[in-house]
Amino acid sequence: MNNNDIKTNYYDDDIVRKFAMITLVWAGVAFLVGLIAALQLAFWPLNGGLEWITFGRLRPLHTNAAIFAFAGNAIFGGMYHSTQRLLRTRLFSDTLSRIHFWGWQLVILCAAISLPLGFTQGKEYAELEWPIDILITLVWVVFAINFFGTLYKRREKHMYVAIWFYIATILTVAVLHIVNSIAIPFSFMKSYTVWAGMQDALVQWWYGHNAVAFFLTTPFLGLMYYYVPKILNAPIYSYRLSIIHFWALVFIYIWAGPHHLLYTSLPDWLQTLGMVFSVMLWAPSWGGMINGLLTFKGRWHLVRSEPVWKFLIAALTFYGMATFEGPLLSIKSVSALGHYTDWIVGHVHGGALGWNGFMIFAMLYYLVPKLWNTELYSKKLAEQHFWLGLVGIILYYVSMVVAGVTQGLMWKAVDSNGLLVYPEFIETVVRIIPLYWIRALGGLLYIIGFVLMVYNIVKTVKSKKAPLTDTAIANLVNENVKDNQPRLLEGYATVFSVLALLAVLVGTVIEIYPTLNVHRYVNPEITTQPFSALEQEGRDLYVREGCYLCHSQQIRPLVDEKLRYGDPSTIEESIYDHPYQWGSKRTGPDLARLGKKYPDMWHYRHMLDPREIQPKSIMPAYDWLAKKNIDYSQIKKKLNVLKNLGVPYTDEQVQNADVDAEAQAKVISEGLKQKGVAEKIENKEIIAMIAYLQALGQKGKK
Amino acid sequence: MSTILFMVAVALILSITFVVSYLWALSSGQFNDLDTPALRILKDDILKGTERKNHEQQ
Repeated sequence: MNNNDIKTNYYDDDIVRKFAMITLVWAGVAFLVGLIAALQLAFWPLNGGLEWITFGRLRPLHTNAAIFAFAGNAIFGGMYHSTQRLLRTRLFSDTLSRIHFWGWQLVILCAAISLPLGFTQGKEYAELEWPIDILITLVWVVFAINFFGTLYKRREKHMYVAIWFYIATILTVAVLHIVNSIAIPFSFMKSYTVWAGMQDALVQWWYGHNAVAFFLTTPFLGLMYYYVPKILNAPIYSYRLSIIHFWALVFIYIWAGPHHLLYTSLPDWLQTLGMVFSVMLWAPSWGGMINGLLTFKGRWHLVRSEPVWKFLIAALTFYGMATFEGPLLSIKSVSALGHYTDWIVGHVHGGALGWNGFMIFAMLYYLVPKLWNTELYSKKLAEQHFWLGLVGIILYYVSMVVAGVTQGLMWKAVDSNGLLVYPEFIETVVRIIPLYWIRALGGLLYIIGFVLMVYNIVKTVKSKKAPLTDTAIANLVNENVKDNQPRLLEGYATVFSVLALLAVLVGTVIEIYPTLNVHRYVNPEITTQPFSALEQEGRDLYVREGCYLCHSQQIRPLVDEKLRYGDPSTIEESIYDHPYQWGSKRTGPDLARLGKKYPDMWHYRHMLDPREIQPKSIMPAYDWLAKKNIDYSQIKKKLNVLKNLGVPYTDEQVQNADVDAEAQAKVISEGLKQKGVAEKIENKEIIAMIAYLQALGQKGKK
Repeated sequence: MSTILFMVAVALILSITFVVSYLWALSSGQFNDLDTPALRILKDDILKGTERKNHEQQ
């Protein structure tokens, strides 16, 4: 027997320890950045005048850290731990496991550097630029090979329900990431997505919603199906239900994306389809919650003394709440009120802090003592962590729902003369600022609870009894080999994986394929003018600063929006937008028809100090735009890439892009000079930004 | 209108596929044992303490 053979008789616990520890590190970062972002909304000067930590750049850092760093590492650790035990074999390759680990940390590091610097594709949860996207793809492939390799050499032929969820996760995330991230680079760190306008919106929310589905739900359901029975030492309530749960969930989830685009210029049939499937999704989601919660049946009295059980029950309850609220918000008439408001922010944090966060905490409290061969340092601290966390989430959730509904109703208020009751957007913002403070307090409590956990875990790890070793496997009989009877579907990994992938692809193809020919939906009488070179340059700055995270560019066909912002947005207007910038949240007003509404001077003063125009504004000042020079060096390449993607630029326009842009910049800066701007601003970024803002709503008119 | 027709066709094909695959699953015995898989995972199948030492000395 050589060394290698002996090794296969042990589970690889070292890799699980690595993922468990790094999860805590990134959790701290994600929570802290979230708290700062929350405080910035309550008190705008908190960006310290620094462009790198201004809300528009900090928010992607927070979401990426929470989803891909905190939840991501926890998923990998939990999957590697449970998969080995469920399949009774060591992971396929120690080397691949470690490439996976270090590769993923490299991705996170690249994100943590590039996002504050303003490198972004301008698509929510898919902000990372193309070189990092390629790195993610490579690491994911390593992960997939490692997982499916383990599946191939498994000693237990039957795959337990947790494994099904892992399979669906790995395959679907690969499809989502690749399709949504396809982009044509024009420089080392910048690119334009191949999708445009309505099509980009659809692909983005097909991705975005299923990032929630297949990164924050299916892997966690898999972990739930393993860790709830293990922690309770009781079988899952109904294995029968888990079969229905799995197939219904993976089939239905993928269709639900368009509910993020209700009342937009997305074709109506897609909106209806997204809404109907979102409502249907309620059933399988609650199937999973019920299956988890009823596993506690007959053991409820033990919950009193077991903090880890409390975390599990709260996590499942938050999952149930979020998956009830999701379908509710997907109903068009509810979306009319809730969309663009803080209600959505409350909704996602109920899921993220309650379901994902608490599941991870429960898993770590269970795993760390096991992996370090010791006992948890203090149950009491874990108990305190639970209550602090719970109160934190409730404060967060309630304040955000109240803020969202309040502001939504204020936006909609129309008096008997048919006029807006609150025509000034800022009035609706000032009203909810106190709730922003309460939200931040909720987040702070959640973080304090987390700090107790870190202390508890560190103490636990330090109390380890013996040198760390890998767990030895007792039963080494390979049941795949002595297999005489016909196996059921759950014993065939390849067939199962193909079927799961098919279930996911049906909805994908039916929704995305018809919009590939976007011109079917366009009114042929309307010719959309592409942005001028300078406007496009300004648009890239708009994306860089993350303006879309607080300002939408999509007016819905609702009475109050028509009164406040003008005619509803059309497909034609954004048809050449790479990426689309419709946005999903209105911390500030919609900008789709901002162009020509105010003079250039208004924008100049407003960007430098928003409070000079609107004393109560909570928008940070963007004074660096007046200090930095426009980088004309890429502009020809940019227009050329856009031209290749179908934007109707002529060869001349591409050739003369820099000359044209400088000429337009001169006109704008001369105009500002006449109004009394003394500084030399001809080459400054603020000119390009003004050019873009003045072009909003000016293209694609009849 | 063409979208509705397309969706009706898709709905019909999908629902027939689901019924057929359910009947196949039922008749091929996929649901014969819905208890042991849930119980099996509770068993750890690992070696600990002296058991492990003895095993490694062999």
